[in-house]
Amino acid sequence: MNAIEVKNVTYYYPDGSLGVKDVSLKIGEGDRVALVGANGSGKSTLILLMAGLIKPTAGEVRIFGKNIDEWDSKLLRRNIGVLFQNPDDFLFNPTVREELLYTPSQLGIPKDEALRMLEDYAKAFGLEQILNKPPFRLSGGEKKKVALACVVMLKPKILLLDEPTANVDGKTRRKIIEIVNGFDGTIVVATHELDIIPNVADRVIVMGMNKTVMAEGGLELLEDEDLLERACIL
Amino acid sequence: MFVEKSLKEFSEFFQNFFVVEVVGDGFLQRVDARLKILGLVLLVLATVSTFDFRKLAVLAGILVLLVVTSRIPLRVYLARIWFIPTFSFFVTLPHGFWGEHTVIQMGFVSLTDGVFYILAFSFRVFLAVSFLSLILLTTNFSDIIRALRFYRIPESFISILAITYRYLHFFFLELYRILVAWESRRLRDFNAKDVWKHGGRMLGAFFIRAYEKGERVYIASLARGYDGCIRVYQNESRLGFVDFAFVAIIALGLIAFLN
Repeated sequence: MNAIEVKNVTYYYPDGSLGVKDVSLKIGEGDRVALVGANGSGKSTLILLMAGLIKPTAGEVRIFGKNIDEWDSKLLRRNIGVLFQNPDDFLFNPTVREELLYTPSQLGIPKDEALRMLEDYAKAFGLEQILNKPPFRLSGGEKKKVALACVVMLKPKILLLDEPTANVDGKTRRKIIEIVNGFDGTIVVATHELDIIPNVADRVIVMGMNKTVMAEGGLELLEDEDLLERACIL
Repeated sequence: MFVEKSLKEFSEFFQNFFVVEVVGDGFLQRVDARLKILGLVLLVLATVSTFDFRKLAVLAGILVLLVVTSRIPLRVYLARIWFIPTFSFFVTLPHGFWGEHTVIQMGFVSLTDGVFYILAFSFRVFLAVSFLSLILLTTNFSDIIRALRFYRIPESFISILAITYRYLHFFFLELYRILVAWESRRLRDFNAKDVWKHGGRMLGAFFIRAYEKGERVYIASLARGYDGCIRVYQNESRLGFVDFAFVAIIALGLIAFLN
């Protein structure tokens, strides 16, 4: 079964600008897909559409075969984890501990289970020392790790990552790649950093500057310089 | 220049003023949030109900006791509270020249009995801000929310408070960034007319950016399960020795205050 199916989706922002145009794609259960494209090609918009956070102007998005609008919102949030490009948009609680407990409490996960998850993931992500700190006083890399921990700890079936390694140092980057690799489920990574793709994905979707899908295929697409140049990635 | 500099300093100050990490590990940090909020709010009410220096001194004594036993570093504490009392001191300063009786004569400057009003007013503000700051400095925000729910404060008020708390930091951070960017791109000093003209543009940019930031944070919160209601886990509420000690301190303090 397809984990995500995007059917002829077009999206216009409220100001009338085009987000994505007539995009269709299928992502199977357990697939690891890299969504590559230049800045402004519609990668982030497509991530938001696949997460059901914005509604398509035309077309439909299906998650595990069911139209995204028909999903119970809590169940949908439990099944889809989204990491935003800018962790400052994502982290808004007073402390890291409360960040980690925010989604479990919103989704009605029992407190004992949430505390167990918090303990496990704080340890796995190396966050134990910063649990009582306000997230906005952390470094960029720490913020990214906290945001990723918030998403991964719920063990969603689908993980949507928007530029997960942007603006982080080498060590944090390696840690993030390690965490993503350890994730057992469907992954869609939007990025324009081509060097991380072989580490996190086995399939590539190239978005063009006209906001449509230019090409789909295996990792060999990353060696097609002509295609990447036309997509303004190189 | 003065307006711009002041705005920059305000935005820098308020970025951190409302968002606090719990400091120290002492007495108040262990007191149940419900009792703590009630007790400290009672002290605030006592503070604003009097101009009597002796009564204010009793409250100041309780304040010192709580700050010391809670092991709050003086530097952190003073950094949080200095602004509002200082501001109120300057606001009430003219009263020093308006009273009926001259109490201090310095050359041709005479200070009236209005100075007592200034001192009492500023001292009251200092105490009230201090007690409120003690709540923020020793209580996690989620515990404050839990305590407000316990006291049946309307949910709409709690939600507004929680959302405001979340956005305030971003709001002042965005203002600060715009001011720094503005400063870094300016090639000459502005006169008052320039500041007025460019300040209007800057304000417009600030509102647009704050709006867009709000939208992005809102979408992120939806992705994290927000559905219009902010839920927090309830703590097991077993009162212990520190809670009873706190109640005793507040009760004794208020009895001394009333007598």
